[in-house]
Amino acid sequence: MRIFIFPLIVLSILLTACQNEPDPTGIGLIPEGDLVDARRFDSVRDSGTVRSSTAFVEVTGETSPALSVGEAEGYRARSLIRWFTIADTIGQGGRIVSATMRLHTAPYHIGDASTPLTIEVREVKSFWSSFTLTSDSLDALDIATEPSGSVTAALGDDDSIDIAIDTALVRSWLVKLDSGLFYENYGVLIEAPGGGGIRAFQSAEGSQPPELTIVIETASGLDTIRGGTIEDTYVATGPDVTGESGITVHGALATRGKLFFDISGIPPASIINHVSLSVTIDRSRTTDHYSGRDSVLVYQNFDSTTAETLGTAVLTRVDGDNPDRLLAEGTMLLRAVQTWVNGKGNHGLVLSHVGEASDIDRMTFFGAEADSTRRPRLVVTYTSKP
Amino acid sequence: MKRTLIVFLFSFSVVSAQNGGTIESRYGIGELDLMSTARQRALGTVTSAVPTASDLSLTNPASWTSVSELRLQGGFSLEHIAVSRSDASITNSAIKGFQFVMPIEESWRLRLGTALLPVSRSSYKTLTEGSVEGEQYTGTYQGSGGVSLFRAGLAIEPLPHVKVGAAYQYFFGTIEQDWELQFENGLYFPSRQTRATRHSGSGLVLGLLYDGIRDFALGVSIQPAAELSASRNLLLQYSTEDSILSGTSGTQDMPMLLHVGASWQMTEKLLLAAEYSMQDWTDATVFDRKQNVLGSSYKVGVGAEWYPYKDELGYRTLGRTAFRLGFYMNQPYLSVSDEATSEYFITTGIGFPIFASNRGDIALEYGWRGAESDLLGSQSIIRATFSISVGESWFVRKRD
Repeated sequence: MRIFIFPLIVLSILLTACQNEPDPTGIGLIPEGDLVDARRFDSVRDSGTVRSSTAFVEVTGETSPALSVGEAEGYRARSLIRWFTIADTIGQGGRIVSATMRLHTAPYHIGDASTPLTIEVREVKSFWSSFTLTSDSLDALDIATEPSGSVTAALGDDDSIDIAIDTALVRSWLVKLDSGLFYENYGVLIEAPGGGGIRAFQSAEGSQPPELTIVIETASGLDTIRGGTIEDTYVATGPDVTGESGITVHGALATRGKLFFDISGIPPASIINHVSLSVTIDRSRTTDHYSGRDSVLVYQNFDSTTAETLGTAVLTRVDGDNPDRLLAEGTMLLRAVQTWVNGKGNHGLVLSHVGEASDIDRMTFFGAEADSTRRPRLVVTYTSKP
Repeated sequence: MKRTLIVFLFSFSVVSAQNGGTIESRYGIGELDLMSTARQRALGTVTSAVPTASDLSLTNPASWTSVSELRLQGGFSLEHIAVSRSDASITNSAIKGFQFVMPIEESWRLRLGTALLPVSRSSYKTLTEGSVEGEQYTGTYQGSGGVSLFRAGLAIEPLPHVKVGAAYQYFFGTIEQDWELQFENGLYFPSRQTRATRHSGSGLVLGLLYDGIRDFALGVSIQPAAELSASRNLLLQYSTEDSILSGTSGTQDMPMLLHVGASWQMTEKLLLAAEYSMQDWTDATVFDRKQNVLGSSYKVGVGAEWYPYKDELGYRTLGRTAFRLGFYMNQPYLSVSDEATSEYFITTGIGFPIFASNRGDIALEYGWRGAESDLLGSQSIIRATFSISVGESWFVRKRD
C-alpha cells in the first residue's frame, strides 16, 4: 500500500501543476530596455521617400473574354480568329452555299454606341499565336488587302452581328483541314476602321463565343456544318501614358504602376505586424468604358528595372471614408515589407489593371509628387525589439 | 526498488509542468533554489549539519559519510503564492532533483555521491495592454527555464569525527525570455521574440562536518565562485516563415556560496539545529555588465526534530516517525527599487518509514514577504515538499 502512495502523489502533481492565466501584476518590474510595443511607420507622416512611375508592358489577349474592334479616342483595336476544327472533312466536296461568322456583343464600347460600325474581315496569310501576338507582330503579318467580308450595323449591348465570309476562303480552310494542314489555317483579321468607335465582342472565353456556320449543298441535299475549336485574340494600341504625371494602370495596351517606399525608418529586422497601402484615384484621367472596377492588383516587385507581376497579388478595396481612395492590405504586402526590412532588397510594388488582358481602360492615381493627402501612402505596424 | 526507480523516472514528466513563478525570477539567473530536502525544509532549511543515514544534505558533501548503504533520494515541491496586488494567484510545482550516494569503503567511510539538482528557476508570465493609433494589442512577457547542476564527488572520514567531502559540479541550463504581441484585429500578424541564454560551466563544492563534541555537530560547506560561459540568442519569428537569430557570448558570474550550520542532539529524541548561509551577488556580472538589482543574499534558519516514540516498545512505525518544526528568514538576491524584500517562513513536517530502510518526508511551509507599498504588494506563500529516500544494501559486505 505504502509503495503506491508515492505514485499517487506524483499523479496529483501532474494534475495540479497548472498554468494560471497571466495578469499585469509585476509588469512594472520589467526593465525599460526590455519592454516591447507596437509602433507605426507612416510614409506620409514620417517623410519617407516615395517614388512612383508608369511602365509600358507587352500583354497578350489570349485570355480576354472580349474581342475589341474599332477606332476611337486615339485607340485602335483589332481582333484575330481562326477555327482549328470544322465539324466535317468535306474538303473539296459539295458546293458552299454560304459561310457566316456570328459575333455576340459584350456590353463594352468606346464612343457612341448608337453610331453604325462597319466591320471588315480580311484573310490572314501568315502564322500567329494568341500567346505571343502584340501590336508589332500584328503589323508584321501578311494580311490580304481586300476584305473577305464586311457588314455595317449599329449594335446594342446584347446583340449579335452576322458577317458573310468569302466562300473561297472558307473552302481553303476545309481543304487544309481535310489534308491535315490545320496549322496553316490562319483565320481572319477583324477590324472596324474609320473612327466609328470601338465595340467589344465575346471571345472564345465568353459565354457566347464566335460562331462559324457553313451551308453546303451535297448530293443528299443541304448540310450545315459549324466551326469547332477556336483560337482568338485581340490587340489594342493607344496613346503613350508613361510620361504623364501620377501612376497609370492601363488595360490592353498595357501599362503598370511602380511604387517605391523608403522604409529605412523601420529598425532592421523588426517584426512586421500589418501593412496597408493607399492610393488615390485621379478621376479626371480615369475611364470606365469596360468593367470599370475600382480595384487594382498589387504585386511585390522583385526587379526594380521591370514591372513583372510575379507571385500572389493583393486586390485593393474602396476606402469606406473616401470612394476615390483604394486600400490594399494582406499577407503579400506584409511579407513584401518584411523582406525589405530584413534587408533582402526593396524593389517596391507593381500595380496592374484588374482587366489588364481585356479592358481598354485606364486608371490613374496621384503619384509621389502629389500633396500629402493624395500621394501613395504606406502605413506599417511593427514591433520594437528588446 | 525497481518500482520506485520507475516512478522517479516517470516523475520527470512533471518537469514540463514547471511554471508559474513571479516576475522577480526574471533577474539574475532566476529564483535560487534553497537546496533542501523535505526534512531539511521542515527544520527551517538547515542543511549542512544535520546528517542522517537516510537524508542526504544537498549542500554539504561531507554528510555523505553518514550513509551506510546505497541510497537514492529525490523530491518535488508544490507552491502556491497569493499576491495582494492581483486577484490572481500562482501555483507551481518543481522537481527538487535527485541524489545518489554509494558506500565504497568502510574503514575510511569512503562514499561516492552524484546528484542532479536545480540551481535556479525562471518562471513568470505577465501581460500588458497597449494600442497603436487605435489598434489594441496585448503584450505577454514570459520566462522559463533555469540553471541546474550535475555533481559528482567523494566523502571520507580521515580522522574520527572529522568528515570531509568534495565534489565537482557542472552547471548547465537555458533561461528563455519570450515577448509576444497579440492584436485584437485578426488582420494583424502577431509577433514573437525569444531570447535564450544558455549557461555552462564548472565549479566545486567543499564540505566539512565535525561531530567530535558530544551531541554537537558543526558543518561548513563552500562553493567557490565560478564563472559560467553564457551564450545568448535572440530569435524573431516572421510572417515570411523564416526567422532571424542573432547572438552574443559572454560569462555569468556565480558568486561564492557559504553554509555554516550546527546541530545539538539535546536528548535522544530531540534534535535542535541552526544555520547561516550567504551569497553576495553585488558584484556579479552578466555579459560584462552588473545587474544593479542584484545584491547580497543570506538566510538564517532554526529547527527542531522530535521522535516522540523512539525506542519505545510497541511503536514499530511510530518509533521511527519524526515531527519537525522550524523557522527561517531568507533575503533573496534581488532588490527592486533599491529595496530588498525579505521573506519569512514557518516550517513543519513529518518523516516516516516506508519499508525497510526507505523513508519519506513531508514538509509544509507558510511564508510571507513584501509590503503593500511594494510593486508586487505583499505575498503569502504556502509550500509543500515531498522527499523519498530509498536504500539498498548493494555492494555492502554482510558480516556473519
